[in-house]
Amino acid sequence: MSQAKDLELAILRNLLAQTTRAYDQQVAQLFAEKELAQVTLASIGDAVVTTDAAGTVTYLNPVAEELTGWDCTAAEGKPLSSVLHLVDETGEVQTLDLRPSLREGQDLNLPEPSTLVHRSGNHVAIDSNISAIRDRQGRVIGLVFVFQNVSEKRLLSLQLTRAARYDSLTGLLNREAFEAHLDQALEDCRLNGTSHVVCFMDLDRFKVVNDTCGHPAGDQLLQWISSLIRERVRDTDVFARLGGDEFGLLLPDCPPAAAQRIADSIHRALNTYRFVWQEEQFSVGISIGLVPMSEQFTDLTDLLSAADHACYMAKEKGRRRTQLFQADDMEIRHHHGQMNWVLRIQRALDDDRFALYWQSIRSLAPAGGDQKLYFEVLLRLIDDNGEVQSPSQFLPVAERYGQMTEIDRWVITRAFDLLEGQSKEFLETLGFCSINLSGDSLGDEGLLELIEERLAKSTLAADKICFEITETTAVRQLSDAVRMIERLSSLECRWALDDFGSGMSSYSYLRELPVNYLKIDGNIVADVVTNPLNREMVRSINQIGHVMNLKTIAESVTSEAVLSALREIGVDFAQGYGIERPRPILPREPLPLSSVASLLQ
Amino acid sequence: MKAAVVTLTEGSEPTPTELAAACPDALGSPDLVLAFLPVAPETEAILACLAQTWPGSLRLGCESSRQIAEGAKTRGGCLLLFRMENPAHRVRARVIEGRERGSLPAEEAVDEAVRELSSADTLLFLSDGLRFPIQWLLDQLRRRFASAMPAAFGTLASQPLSGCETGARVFHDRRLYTSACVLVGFEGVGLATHLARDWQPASPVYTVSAARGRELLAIDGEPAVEWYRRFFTVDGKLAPMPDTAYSFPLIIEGPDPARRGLYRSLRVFDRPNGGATFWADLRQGDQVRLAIRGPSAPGWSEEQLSALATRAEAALLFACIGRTLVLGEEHRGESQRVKNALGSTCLAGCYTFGEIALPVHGDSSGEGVVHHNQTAVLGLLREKQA
Repeated sequence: MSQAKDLELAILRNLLAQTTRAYDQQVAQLFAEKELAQVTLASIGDAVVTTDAAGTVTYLNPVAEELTGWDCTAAEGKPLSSVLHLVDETGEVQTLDLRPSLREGQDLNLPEPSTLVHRSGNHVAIDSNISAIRDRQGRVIGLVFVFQNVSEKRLLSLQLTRAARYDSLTGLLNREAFEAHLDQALEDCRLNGTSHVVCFMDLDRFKVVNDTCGHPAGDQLLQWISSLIRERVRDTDVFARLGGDEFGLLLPDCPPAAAQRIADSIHRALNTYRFVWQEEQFSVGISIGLVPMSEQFTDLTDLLSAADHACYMAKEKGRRRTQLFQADDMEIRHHHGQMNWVLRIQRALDDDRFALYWQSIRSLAPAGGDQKLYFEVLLRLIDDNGEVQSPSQFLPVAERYGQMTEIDRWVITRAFDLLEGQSKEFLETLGFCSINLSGDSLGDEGLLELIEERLAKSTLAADKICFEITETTAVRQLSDAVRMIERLSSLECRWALDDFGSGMSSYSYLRELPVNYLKIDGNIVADVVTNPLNREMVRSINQIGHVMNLKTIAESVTSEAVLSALREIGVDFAQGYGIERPRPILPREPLPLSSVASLLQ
Repeated sequence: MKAAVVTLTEGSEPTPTELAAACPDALGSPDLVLAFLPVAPETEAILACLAQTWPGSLRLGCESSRQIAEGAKTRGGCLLLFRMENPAHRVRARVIEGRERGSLPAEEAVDEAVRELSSADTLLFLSDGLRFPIQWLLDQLRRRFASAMPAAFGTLASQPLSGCETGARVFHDRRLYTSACVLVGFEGVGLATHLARDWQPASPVYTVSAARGRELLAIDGEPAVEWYRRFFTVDGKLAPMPDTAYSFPLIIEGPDPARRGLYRSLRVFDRPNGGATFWADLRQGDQVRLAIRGPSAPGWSEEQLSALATRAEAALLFACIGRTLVLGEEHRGESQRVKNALGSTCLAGCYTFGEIALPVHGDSSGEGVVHHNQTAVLGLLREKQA
């Protein structure tokens, strides 16, 4: 037994030796770790303050010293609250309640935003966290308070918040913020029956300024207009820029008559205002839609739609005026009006129920001169009943409700499909195929890329395609038009300026628009035989066109007499019912060469 | 529940008449005859005698190096007889047999046992101490029962450490099994277990680097044998192993909280080569320390013993054989102290090669039961009131 005891004792000594060795190693390791921790604390970007279990400061790292203004030695032994003076957003002193952390070891986040008061009195915005330090048994033996200087971050955050609510150009509220106000007003109207009015305002002919003088001029105009309107609304009114040249105005607690007076004062201010940019002077009007809030508006979308509609009506009725929304306007629009067409157009796009027609353009060159075939593709909509609807039925609505780019894409894709499916003989005979482009498409980079990509992949020569834009569209969106014409002309596409003469054309624009053809407006051409003024207008356009090396095309030629007159004037091409009525193009069928032959005759 | 303990005489086979006479009349034909018999060739004959005496009773048990009968240690064996007061309460049993060459038992057998014992409130494990993969069975049962696992405890039958080739066996009815676990399910019987712990940490924490079942291959980054040599080399010579190591079991300190506090005793040194075989499993990542016996009196503290004065109707004590070797004289009176604390409650049991119980005292679900070494487990049984 004694031997066994001795053995046991010897082994216990071994155990003790091993334990001592391990203890020494651990002490060395702990010392190294402590050194590492202190070096780390001294070099990290966060401020760190530690306390003992009583909440008395035991350590500050250099960043904490800098942010508090306290030296570590001076702070040591002081209560944490003496070293860290915290105030909230309003400057109220924040009391640090450390008890939950000290008793239960809970992590503590100070309410944000929190501000630390430096010993000098300066304020520093901080994000902070307090965590318990525990021993091996899990007992709380102190706290560690970690905080960062977030002054810059908080400033940036304020700026971002502002950017999210305000329009950077005018300093007005933006659309999102305006809609939030409208939402609240709508709720107030529903709950309390308070009378609020919403105005939608759209500048008249703003694009003319933008396109002719450039965006800096447009921006300055918007800033001026914003100031002018702001001076005429009440302090309680909510004025916002909704985007582009559209503005919104919420008139809280305002009867319609008072709203009308405010709108009138805005009109007066703008009517007397002249915007001057370099040598140019512009008169700018505004169309205003007024909508008194009522229970009929079940949600914001309804209200916005009504305001938009009223503004549109003001524009339709001649601009520079105010249109008060009437309850039945909405019903009429919903049941009989444009919204119905919007849906029909969308259905036609979805169901592929548009159709291409073609109408030839005849060369008026002497017999045996120009042997080529020229034609324009035209669009028709086949409605739910299978009836063919002309473009005048649906294009204005499509333009108003932003459906034109989709329609243009459809037309371009089908026209390319059509031409690529033709025989070599047909394509050799083809002079050009003319395709109409809307104003919306002029600024559509995606569409431009689609055309470029299509041309790159196609065997079709680009000069067989002639894009048409109307004179008014081109002038209204001059910069977009020039950019698109130049891009596609560089690929050899041709361009025609449509309806020339309808918009009180300024020949000076022709210098800026590098087109190949002038299509003389049908209204001038139609009575060229009987109206000497029109005859001279056609002659003038034709002459100017030729001087500028452009070919001319007369539209809406209805009779042989008109055709003769055009020949006499020297117009290059003619198009119209008097020559050929538009004919449907059957899908996947070649264009009949017989038609070509008849045209050439 | 009515219970009685019958002590068998060492060296003589009992007769049916003697056994019947020793059984109190109140028990009549017992529902369960739980036998703890010595590891001896006579076991078969005793089982035959039990069958003759109580043919209608469920009869099962295990062999062990020594048995405990009403607090006294015996070498002749003892019986604990049970009879339920409530006829609706029953005792059922299933045997899950081990297989040759260390392959695992059939999972279908576990499925059947779970079905059979699904209504049990208490499970008793009686397993042989060397061959049957008890850890595997515990894992299987935990997976199948999940939170519905009954309260459980048990023993791994022990044999004398030398001179016994056959090993301790378990039995059910008249059949003896060299590798099996008899699962006894008590329906309508509640269980509370108490655990005696005698060890305290005596070394730094080390991490098991490699282990396979009960084999410790490497620890603290070196072969287990080399690691043990660090501590067990005295005057340049390795102390006798594994005997010396019995006094210094390992304590698992984590990281798995379910294993925290488990003791592991070394059984064979340098087998497999360079490693060591233990009486229960070790796992890679286990954080362990060598332990020495605690400074206070071993076994049951006065506080623990006073908690035993409950209204238990029968008690089973399974004490690790290693404790008797290490704790020596101080340990001898342990079972008697437990019996004294229990008063008139019947107490039987045996010395073990491993104990099955919750890691701490408790009477909750058996979901957390684990395989212990170097402890003593006391299971208090009490029939539930209708």
